[in-house]
Amino acid sequence: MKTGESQKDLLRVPHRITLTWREPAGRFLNRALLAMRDKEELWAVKCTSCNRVLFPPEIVCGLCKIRIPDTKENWVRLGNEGTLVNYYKVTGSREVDPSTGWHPRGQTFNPIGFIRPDGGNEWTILAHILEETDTSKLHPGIRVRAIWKPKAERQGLLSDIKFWRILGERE
Amino acid sequence: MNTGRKGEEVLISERNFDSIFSYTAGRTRSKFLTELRDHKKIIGSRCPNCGLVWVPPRATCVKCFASLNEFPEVGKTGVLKTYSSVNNFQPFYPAKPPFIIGVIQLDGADNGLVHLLGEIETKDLKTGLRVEAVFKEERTGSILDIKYFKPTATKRS
Repeated sequence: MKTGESQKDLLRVPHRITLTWREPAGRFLNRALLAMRDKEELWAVKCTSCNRVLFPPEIVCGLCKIRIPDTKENWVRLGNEGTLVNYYKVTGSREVDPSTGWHPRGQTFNPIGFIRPDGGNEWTILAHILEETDTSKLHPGIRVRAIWKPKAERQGLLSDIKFWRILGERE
Repeated sequence: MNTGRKGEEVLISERNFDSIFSYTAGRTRSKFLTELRDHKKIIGSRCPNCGLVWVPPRATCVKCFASLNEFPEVGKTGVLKTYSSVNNFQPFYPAKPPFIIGVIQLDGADNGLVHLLGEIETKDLKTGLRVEAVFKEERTGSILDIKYFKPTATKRS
């Protein structure tokens, strides 16, 4: 601030941006989401070049930059149980949002888990919500199971899995 | 239900983005807004190199990148360069639709100012129309301290 300037002379401009759009899931992800919604099944694709098992499935392998052929043997069925690879504790201890005044005080957040469903390899990582909010009970290697929403509530989204529940200790 | 080529259902998600935020106007734009608020004056910034006057004022000339430190007052009247009638609704719009938005070249300015037009029917609009600013009684330091631009009295008859 220059001398002679006051808070009254330097303004903030309130602003708002809204956007609405429609977006298809794409060929592979569409199929995986339909299987989740209708059959409670997780389907991943396997890259023919590097053998990475990718969930959510991708049309082009991010490492090899090749288009994964849409053949039966490239689709891998993953289990509804998996291993927790790691997790984020979500504390929400942010400052007050200056625009909205929102502050997450007093709220608890579910941790975000990085889950490797059974049938995947070391490249299969799904970031999803964990049920257990007490992170002292979480550690890498713990077994988790997908808890699905009731069929009527499922919309063909990754959130059709409500959260992942801890099964027990490492085998 | 949307279906693809093979009769497979196609999932299409409806996405909504809504962000409420504020940004610092900066020294130059703050000057413009405080002049509107306190003195009902519309100021621009004149380029020392090319002599162009920008409204709203800018810190840097768009044409020759010179620093602009001269802030002349421009007229409250101007010429309507182009306009559009808005009938759909988005939450960030400055007015309830239907409303008319126009680009107004104020007297003494070299570029257009985008603002609302009022006290005029869509059928009476034409480019080249002389318009004048109508200020709000309670001003807060916003571009909407100008309520709208209306046709000048002489041209209406």
